[in-house]
Amino acid sequence: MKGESAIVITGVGLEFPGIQDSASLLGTSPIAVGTHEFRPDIKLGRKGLRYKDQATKLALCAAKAALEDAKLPTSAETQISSETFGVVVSSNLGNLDTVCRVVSEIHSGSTNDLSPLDLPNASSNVIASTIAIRFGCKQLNLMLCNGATSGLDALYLAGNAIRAGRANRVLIVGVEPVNQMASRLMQESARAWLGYEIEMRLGEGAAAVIIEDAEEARRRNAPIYGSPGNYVYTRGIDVAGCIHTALKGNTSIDLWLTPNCMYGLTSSAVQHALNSVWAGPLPRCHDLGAMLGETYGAFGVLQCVAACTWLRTNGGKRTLMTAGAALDDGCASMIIDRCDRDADEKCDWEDVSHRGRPYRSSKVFFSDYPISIYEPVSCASPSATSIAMIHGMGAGWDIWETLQWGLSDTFRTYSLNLPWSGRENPRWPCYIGGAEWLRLGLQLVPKKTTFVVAHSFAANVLLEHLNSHGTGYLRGMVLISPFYKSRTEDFEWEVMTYYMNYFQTLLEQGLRARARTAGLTADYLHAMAKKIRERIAPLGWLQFFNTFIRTPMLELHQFSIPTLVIAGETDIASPTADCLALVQTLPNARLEIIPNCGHYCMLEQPHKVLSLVDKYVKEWSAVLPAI
Amino acid sequence: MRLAITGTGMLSSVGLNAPECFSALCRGTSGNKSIQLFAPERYNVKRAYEIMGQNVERTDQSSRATQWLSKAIFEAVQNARMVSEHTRVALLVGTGLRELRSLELWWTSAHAMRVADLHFGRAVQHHINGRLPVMTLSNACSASLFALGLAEDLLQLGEVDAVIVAGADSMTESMCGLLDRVSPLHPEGVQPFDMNRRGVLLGEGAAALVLETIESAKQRGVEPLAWLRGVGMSCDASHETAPDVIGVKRAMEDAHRRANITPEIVDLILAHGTGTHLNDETEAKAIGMLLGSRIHHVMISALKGMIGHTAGASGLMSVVTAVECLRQHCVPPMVGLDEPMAEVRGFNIVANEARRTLIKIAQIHAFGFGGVNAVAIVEKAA
Repeated sequence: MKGESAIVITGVGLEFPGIQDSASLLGTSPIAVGTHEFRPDIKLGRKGLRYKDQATKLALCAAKAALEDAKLPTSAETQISSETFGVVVSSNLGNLDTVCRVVSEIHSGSTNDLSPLDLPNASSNVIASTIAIRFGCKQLNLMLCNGATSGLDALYLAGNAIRAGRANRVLIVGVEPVNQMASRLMQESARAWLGYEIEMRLGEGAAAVIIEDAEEARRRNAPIYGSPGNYVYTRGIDVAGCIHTALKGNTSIDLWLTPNCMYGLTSSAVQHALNSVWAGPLPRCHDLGAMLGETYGAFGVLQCVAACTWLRTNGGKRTLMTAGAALDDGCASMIIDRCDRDADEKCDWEDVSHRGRPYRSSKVFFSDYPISIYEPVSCASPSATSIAMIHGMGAGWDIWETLQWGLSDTFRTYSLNLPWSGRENPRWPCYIGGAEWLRLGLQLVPKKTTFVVAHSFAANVLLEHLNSHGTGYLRGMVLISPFYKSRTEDFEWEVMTYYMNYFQTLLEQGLRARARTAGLTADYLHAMAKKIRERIAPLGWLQFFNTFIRTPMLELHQFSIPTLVIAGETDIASPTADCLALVQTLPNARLEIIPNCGHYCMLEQPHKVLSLVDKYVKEWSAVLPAI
Repeated sequence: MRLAITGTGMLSSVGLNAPECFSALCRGTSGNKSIQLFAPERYNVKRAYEIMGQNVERTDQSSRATQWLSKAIFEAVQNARMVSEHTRVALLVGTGLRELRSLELWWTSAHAMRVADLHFGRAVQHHINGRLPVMTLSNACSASLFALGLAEDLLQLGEVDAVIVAGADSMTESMCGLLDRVSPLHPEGVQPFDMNRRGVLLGEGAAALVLETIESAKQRGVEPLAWLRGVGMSCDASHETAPDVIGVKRAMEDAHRRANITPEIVDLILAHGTGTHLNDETEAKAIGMLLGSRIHHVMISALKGMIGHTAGASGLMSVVTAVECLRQHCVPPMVGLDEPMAEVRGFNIVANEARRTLIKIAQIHAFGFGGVNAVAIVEKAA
């Protein structure tokens, strides 16, 4: 499912000989090279460092500092949730010295003269794997060698890995060493790119950042610096285009960490961006290159450390980082926002009471239609598995009352209210289709949605949504009274007129099933149902029938997640035979038929439905792979 | 989430495009030859699986990997009928040794190079529209499968509509030399899972594929060649060069979780199978643990006996091959295997010759130095 989890930065670390602490990154004077001794043995202990190359040692020191800053363990044995902890390292020049030295050794003798201890260092990813071993990070392990944008690219890919559910936490390190080979290659590359000689000053050092799933960070009470936002990559030196896209029209930032301006071409591109992107006052600019020299693959991560420090110490709100636009590499930008508590939850939550029960609720608007979400205020653990519930046409979020509260001790349950409730004006299908409304609704669920329960029309909308977006995090679904036909030929004219003529009856049945309307006369129920029917209008009904008529086209064989279909024995709208056909087409589905029950099972036999859903969802949770 | 693979491309020591490679692999052709690139007297090892196509290049040139990478990408893009105006396409490259061979030639023979050439920067950028990322990752021998996994993330998150995923590796003298130094048995060929296997030999190659969302493929009116069901990842975090059975198994389980499948429905495994003592043993144990009693039913093959260990490109080369297995109902044999080692007794290995059979789900392995493991699941398109 799309980007449901917010990401926060919880730790920063720096190992830059000549720089005391991350606050010094915001200073301006160039650092004095060679005044500061690098002592990895003191910072890390002597053990295991002997054959490590310089880049690896720098990276380990920065990584350790970031872990400490994020209040995480610094040993593999005590690391928390190792198996969802990843590493992404950005470095280009890391092992060039080993490669050049080894090839010289071969040329002056034979392979028998080589030291086997050079083998790990000959592989470019040695830095990332050494960090993983030392600190116990067992999920993805990436070594990004992508030139000057590499550091910001690493932040982006690490964020994606969390949002896509691969990891809960990622350690990102940017590092470049300085040695004879690296200096010569960089000098020659700058000359070839610019067409003239410049004085190339390389900076040696490492920076590290820890990003986490926001919820995970909150759970362990981690300090939060900010939240990485929009990332943009452009080819060439189009700095203005790059930041223009990254800012998305909101040019108010309080710090721009610019690309390294030691190259004339880059410097002009930065000037051009300043002149063309901001109409009013210019943001404060800071070029880390002026202080640190060319730090190439480490640059973006150094910028991130500087940005986080700025947000924390200078009360900054929004910073922009831009790297690259040099040496034939592209240009990348990323925004980091300060993130105040709960700012990551895409909307504000308020406490509401409904029929005497407490909920917290939140709402967003799309084309003037509210989409709301309701969660019972209960004792379920904040980390409990989440279940989203979706009502059918003409019903509202509170149709799930019994189910929501019945499950609320063990699960976090979220009931959505979508525009087909019959309480809004009927033009909602004119904007986007049902599946798209559902997608917007699911984005409101603050946790990764693990299970979904959907009724009637919503069950079909859910199937359409999953058909085009995949099942994502979803580990199971319950479809109550879904509509289904396996063949297009089954939709004869009689079928359409049947559903049209019985629509009013069906709505009335729904109202009757609600306990609180028990004392109402048949005439009153008829009038109420008519009102709802008018609100839904032919436009809404057509949306239902259109969804229904497309069911033979669903690629159901790909839905391997466990599915429970609940059907009412006497349902006039989705007969048990149709539900059975659906179950037989889905690869991993079960059918439960509730005797003596119509279309509104969760209202007519709420406790039966609760016990079924409870049983299956617990069963599915038990076989959940750990993440 | 199922993603559409709509075009593929590949070069190896047995063929200079994807169809050529697949038919050579199904015939059991081996690209094993005497090493041409480096001075033989400095090496104990004498053989490798180099790309020596007449029209491709001379041996001591810079940027050989870059050229193959470009060719493979071009083939995949053509194949997918993707036009450059197609917006929202990213490009991810996985490589074990980047252009370090060019660096070696720069260092020893003063061949010109720029630092951006190391990550193929200048060569591949023009393949896509100027506003989306081009990224190179150097994740040892599983690099291109990691790239495939990152592509899956980009598409799943709706960041782009399509991703060109590619991998390329040429032999470097330093890696070839260091491997030579640590393999005392001086292998003459790669013998995956063989009792008498003596170690790994390097190969050269490149592969590329176009991966896109179902909607993107539909909109462009192209039929998928196969589906990517998911890519799993793990890091052993235990040893710099030796593999770890638990870590390897974790990657397989992660792949199944992401692909939403159970091991029962896997028909074919294209193993990493490097022919080194410890790697093959570890991989076989992990496969055994994963499949349990199903082990007799799942076909297992590996390509390295024919094309050598193509480092970071190997994972994607196996994926491109697997796509053809699904389409052409044919599995290339595991060349180099004469006497199966004890750990693979009872395995359903495709030995001696290609097997013609219907396959629906294939699982591809790539494991690298540093315990970086990636496993991909691909599925036959309708």
